[in-house]
Amino acid sequence: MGGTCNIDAFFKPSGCAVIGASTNPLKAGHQILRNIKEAGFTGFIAPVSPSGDSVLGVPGFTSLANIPEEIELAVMAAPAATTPSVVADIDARMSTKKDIRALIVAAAGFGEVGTTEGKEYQRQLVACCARHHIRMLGPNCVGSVDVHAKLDTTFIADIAHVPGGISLVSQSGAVGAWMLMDWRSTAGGGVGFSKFLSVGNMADLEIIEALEYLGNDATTRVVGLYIEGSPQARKLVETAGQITRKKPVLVLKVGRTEEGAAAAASHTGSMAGKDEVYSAAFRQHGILRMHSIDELSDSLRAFDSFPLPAGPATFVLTQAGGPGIFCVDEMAARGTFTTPLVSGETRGRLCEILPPFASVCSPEGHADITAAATAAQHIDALEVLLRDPAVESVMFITTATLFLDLTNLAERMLETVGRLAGEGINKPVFPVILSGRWVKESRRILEEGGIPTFDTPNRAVAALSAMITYGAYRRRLEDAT
Amino acid sequence: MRVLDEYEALEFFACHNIPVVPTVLATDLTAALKAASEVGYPVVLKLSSPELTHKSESGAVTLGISSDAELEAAWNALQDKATGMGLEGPRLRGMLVQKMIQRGAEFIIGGTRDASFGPTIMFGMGGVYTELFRDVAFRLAPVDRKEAERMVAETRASRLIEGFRGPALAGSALLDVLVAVSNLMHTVPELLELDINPFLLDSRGGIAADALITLAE
Repeated sequence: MGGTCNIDAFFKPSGCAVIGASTNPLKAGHQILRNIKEAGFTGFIAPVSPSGDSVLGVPGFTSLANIPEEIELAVMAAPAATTPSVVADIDARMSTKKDIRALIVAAAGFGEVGTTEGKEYQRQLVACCARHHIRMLGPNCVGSVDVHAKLDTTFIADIAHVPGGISLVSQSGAVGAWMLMDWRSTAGGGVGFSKFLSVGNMADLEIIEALEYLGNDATTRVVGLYIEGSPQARKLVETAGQITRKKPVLVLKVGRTEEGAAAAASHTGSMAGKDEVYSAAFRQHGILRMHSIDELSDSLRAFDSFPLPAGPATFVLTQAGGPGIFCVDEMAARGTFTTPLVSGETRGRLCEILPPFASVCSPEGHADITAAATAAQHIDALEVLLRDPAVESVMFITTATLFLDLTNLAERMLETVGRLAGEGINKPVFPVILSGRWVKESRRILEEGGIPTFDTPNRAVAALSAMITYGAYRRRLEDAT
Repeated sequence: MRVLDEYEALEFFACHNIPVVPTVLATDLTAALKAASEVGYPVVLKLSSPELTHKSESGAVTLGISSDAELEAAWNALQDKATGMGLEGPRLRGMLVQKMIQRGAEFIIGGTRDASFGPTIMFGMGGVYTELFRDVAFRLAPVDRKEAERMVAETRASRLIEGFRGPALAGSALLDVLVAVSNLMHTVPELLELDINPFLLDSRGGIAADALITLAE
């Protein structure tokens, strides 16, 4: 294994070769080249295949050894059975050029299938990489993305390469692909992110080292992790725990094991289910445990887009009774929120602004502004609330009525939130605009303006709850020093 | 792997400054009577055998003994019980005479060594229903007092400590023991599992009333 600095070659190589390049659009060796081109990679690209065919207009080569330009990254899309010839080709190139620093093995059919051949092919790749000080990602992975460096080596179709601060490490290629493809279908047409790593079989680069790298990566503001388990669980949480001191780490950990419980002699042994220990260890280290892909995705977006709330006091500004009550129930069930007590002046201003039947601060921390409220009334009320020091976040819920100008509402919200930020008032506003196709345009305006929107109050509540929990953890660390 | 039973485990904890219930090992009735007069009635009499880890389930315990005559009767009954269970010679260490503590709420303090997490500790509602209610919280060891406090706060049992329909319990004494146990798990690699159950806590302090330890060999 090399130092973590060598991981850079996965993201910022001078040139990139795709072994097993194909003119057939249904092959991974085609899609990888398509993604490399579409993400806008500016370095040298070399499709490598036995025929040496050009792919997508990029001139091809018959071997790595024949490529005259510098190649720091090679992506192996060819099947596992071609491993001996790929290894021979790498050996041949490295005997003269010595330029390859990273290898991504997208193909499956290695250690994960458990066959003698599969294990042997994986062993040959590991030995080859060790010989030449090459770092390897995979085998059996979907690849890596660095949006800022304009490199996408995955064979995932339809990724929106929007720059942002989210980085994601996934033990499952399919889960990674699921999230990245979902992000394309958000109202804004994409979720900004920085890096994606699918670690596959982890024959060399594994999760802990990937986490360490992202912890030190300047363009990563929040780290997402999907894991099924780790034999080095303590090292994993301690590594993530170092990162949470400066940026949030969100983990979706699946797979519960109860083995060994029955055999334990003590009460403690019989109750220490692995999953509960994971939860406790995460909490102890400020790592946020997510329970679904939606929660992971929503929370990552919230952390990357919103300022961290100063505390748990959250005002619910709703235009409709039912969704507002639903939201309050969800918040109460989480146990992370408190009710802000706004000033008499704020209350008075709200009564002035809002329609006559609006219910203001009854109960506290809640205003039902009614379906009669115009776009201007929504946003004027929001501004009054954001200016009140007692309010630390706002859940903003509105439903589409025929006469509410949602486009205008979205534009006003962007303007107001931006203007207040200019005055130093930085508080998260979580917009839940219900629902469906009717509200898509308003959500697009907000998301393109940098404000994520949420499908349901419960999804917004889960994401804000994660931010409040993390904010409390950071304040606790600061108080301790 | 070797299991330390109650007698050995309580000795171990006493050596590490964790308060334990006054316990005397008696190998005959005369010694038991002397021990009872030392710790004071009422007492509890328990069979002590390395093979008995869940004594109350096997009926190897007599509670609430308040006189020499009751102690003698209990001794003879437990002796018969031991014979019936085949506990003789080196398989029966003797009987434990313990001060009967009739105060405090029952908690469990535990430790395990996980293959991938290493040393961990547990706190929760103790007594015989521990496994039924599963009101427990875990931490990676070691922990400081602040972390121990947050761990306790995760359980419903913490409401008892704050004072639920009664006075507040000696939470500070509990935190001392949690920190001490976490340090033991952290610094003694031979400790595979440990249980203090029940750990009795009242408004004045806490005491380990029963314990079990599994050691690596």
